[in-house]
Amino acid sequence: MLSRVAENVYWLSRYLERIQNTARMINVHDRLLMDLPDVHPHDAWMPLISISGLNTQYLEHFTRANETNVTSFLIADTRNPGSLVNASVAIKNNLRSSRDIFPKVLYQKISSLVRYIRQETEQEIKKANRRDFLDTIERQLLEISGAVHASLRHDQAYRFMRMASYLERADMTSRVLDTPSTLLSTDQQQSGILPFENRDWAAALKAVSAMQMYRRHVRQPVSATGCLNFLLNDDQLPAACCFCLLRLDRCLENFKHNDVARTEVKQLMEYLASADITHLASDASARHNYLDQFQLGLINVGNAIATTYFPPVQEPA
Amino acid sequence: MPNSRWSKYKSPCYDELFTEQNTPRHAAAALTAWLDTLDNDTLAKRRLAAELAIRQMGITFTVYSDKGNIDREWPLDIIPRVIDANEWRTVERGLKQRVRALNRFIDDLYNDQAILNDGIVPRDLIETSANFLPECVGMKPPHNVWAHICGSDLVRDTDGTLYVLEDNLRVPSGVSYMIENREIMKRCLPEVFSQCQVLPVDSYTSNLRRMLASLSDVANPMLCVLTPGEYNSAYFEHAFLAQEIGAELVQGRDLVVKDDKLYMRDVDGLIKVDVVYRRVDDAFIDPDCFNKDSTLGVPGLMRAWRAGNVAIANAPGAGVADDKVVYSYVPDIIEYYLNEKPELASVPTYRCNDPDVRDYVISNLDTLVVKPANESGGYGMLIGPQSTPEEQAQMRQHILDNPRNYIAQPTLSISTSPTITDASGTDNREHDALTFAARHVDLRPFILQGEQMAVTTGGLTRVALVPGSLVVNSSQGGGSKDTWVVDNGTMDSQQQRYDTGEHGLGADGQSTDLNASQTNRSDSLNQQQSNKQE
Repeated sequence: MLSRVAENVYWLSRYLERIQNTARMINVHDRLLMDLPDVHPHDAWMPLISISGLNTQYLEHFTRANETNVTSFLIADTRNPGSLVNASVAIKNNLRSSRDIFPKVLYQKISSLVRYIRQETEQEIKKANRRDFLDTIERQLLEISGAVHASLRHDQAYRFMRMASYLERADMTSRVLDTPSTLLSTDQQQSGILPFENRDWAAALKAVSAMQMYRRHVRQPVSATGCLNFLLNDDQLPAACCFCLLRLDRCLENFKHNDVARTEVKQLMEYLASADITHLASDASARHNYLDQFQLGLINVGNAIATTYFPPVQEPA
Repeated sequence: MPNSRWSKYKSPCYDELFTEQNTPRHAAAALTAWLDTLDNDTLAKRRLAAELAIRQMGITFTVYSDKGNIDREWPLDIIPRVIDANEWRTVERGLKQRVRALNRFIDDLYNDQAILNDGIVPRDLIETSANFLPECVGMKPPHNVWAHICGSDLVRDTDGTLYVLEDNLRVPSGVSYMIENREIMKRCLPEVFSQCQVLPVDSYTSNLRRMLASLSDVANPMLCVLTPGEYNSAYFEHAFLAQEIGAELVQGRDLVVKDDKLYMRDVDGLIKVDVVYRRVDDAFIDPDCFNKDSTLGVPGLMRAWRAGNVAIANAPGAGVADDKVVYSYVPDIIEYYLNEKPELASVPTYRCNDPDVRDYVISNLDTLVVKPANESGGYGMLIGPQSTPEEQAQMRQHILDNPRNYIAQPTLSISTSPTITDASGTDNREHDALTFAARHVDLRPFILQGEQMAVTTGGLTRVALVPGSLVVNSSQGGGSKDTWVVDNGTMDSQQQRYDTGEHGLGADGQSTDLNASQTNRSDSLNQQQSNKQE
């Protein structure tokens, strides 16, 4: 496939994954806060901005976090490069340049998602409608993902889409794991029955759609250790970093000129395997540094893919 | 039919669906009767369904504006335009004849120039044409064909005669909309097709693919569609066609010429391209040769083409025959090369480079249509009867400044076809809101010529949505209609196959009709195989 189109398809897929992550994250967080009535609005809503890595951009425009500002910044604010609205514009542009690659049914599903987000955000999304709005987006994304698997040939275009999703998803998981360190508990504080039984770690699991799988597979109460171990090292959970890297590498195997990118993936896998989970579970700043390094590793993998396969001059996506 | 929807329908000129006595034409009878059974609510729902389908399918065209380029949804009027299959056979034959002659003409101009030496077409006319490319002299493209894809504009005058208005031999667009229009009609009027014997239109893309492949010696050639980019007005079509024919949709920056061969930048490395269906104008296809600043083309493409390492459709330089002055010579060109009488009429054309004719044109600007020789999309025209004295004075000056660049034609009374309009009812009753009104239409069929020839079944009907307007271009507020070639069994069954038994430029003397070979699959396969062996 053409290098230019590979790049379009790659970014299209990253933005789809980003929309899915953002929508799910807001939904989960919203529900979490309903059970924490006493938390100050700033402390309650700022974590969403931190997880999204948007502290600087957000604080340029707002001094404090609250529900209205944070949700509208994440959903409809054109000043936020990662807002649902901006991500959908990026998807639209990339879809346009790669239109011929996609089966018509898939093209239609993606463009109706773009249209839905644009239409709904023309007015402010009220709290009462927010859940519906985000649920609809999540459902449309599931349909798109189904159509990608079922209607696209599992060829290079498909693999670029997969690789982009894996990178975006691993990044999201690592960010979600980083928040409890800024806010709430570590394992050391646990004793007896906690009032909120590690609600924050449970929220982390829910934010990446892994809560049920944790219960089924880990079969222990939610804990920092269990959660870190599951979301970093599980090789069968779609949201787990290890899973994402394994699958990413499997995609890369099929490409020529893949040595640089595969070396980066390999190093990152080793870095994952070397994690001292117990230590990370008890030391928030160690955890933060560890995850920060991991995220840089993901950037390196992305750069290796881009320099190997995409056209030399980066275009605005 | 006292309650008929059609009782009030009236056309000021020839109408495609109704006779002067306001009875339906034979081929349109089933359609108009069926439409009469729909109440206004149903009709409104069908129209809405079509709009939704167009939005959902993403069928758009792009309009240039001050605010940037805007995607507009493709405008389709759901009342089809109907053509009798008997008539269409004649038209199809005439179109093939025309394109065959034009290709002989282009090939002659770039090689022997016999037609100039014999004084049929003035040498001066060709040598002053901006579209005559010296870089193409001496080229022998495959099958001696230059214009592989031609979109001719046809209009019908008061007496029912179909005229060829122009031959678009450069990068004609619209065929994707023809195909999608049918797709939408199937969705929103599903029950009417079985009653009306409408011939299908979807063989175009497989014919296009076969035609393009016939330009290369490679067994399974790599095809690509070269687009100026995603902001071009016809980008939808470029993507559509690439998808339909299994070609890569490429932009100039995706391609590179090395050792006089054309490659595309693939994630696996460079991959050789055998055939380019380019939708970029001559002037922009190769900055080494033509417009130096072009970023739409590929440096070295002309070299690769001249070396015979890549086929380009349409071939560079084919536009020399797509000139409104050359147009006026087409009847002579047909007689000269084919020794046949033209089967399709051309509009009488006044060439302003002749002083006497020029004087006539200038003193009759209020009744004539004046066109620049080299513009498309309806730009730069003067429609005399609808123009102001200021516009006429301006055109007069243009003609005097550059007489070679202008031609004039009598204003035809272009035919109409019924079109749904929102009548502003005096009593605001919802179900009185939709009526059928006569709107002017033209027709753009597409003619393919490679090793074989094929013509679309019908073509793209464009309709001027503004009452009385003759401008059908979608960029200027025109709409479109599905075009039905209806075969309702009145002709001799022997003639029902689309086999005109003609011979094109193929040296083998076989039937050159792509559609004919499709009517019988086993024949088609045999023929393909025998062609490959030759």
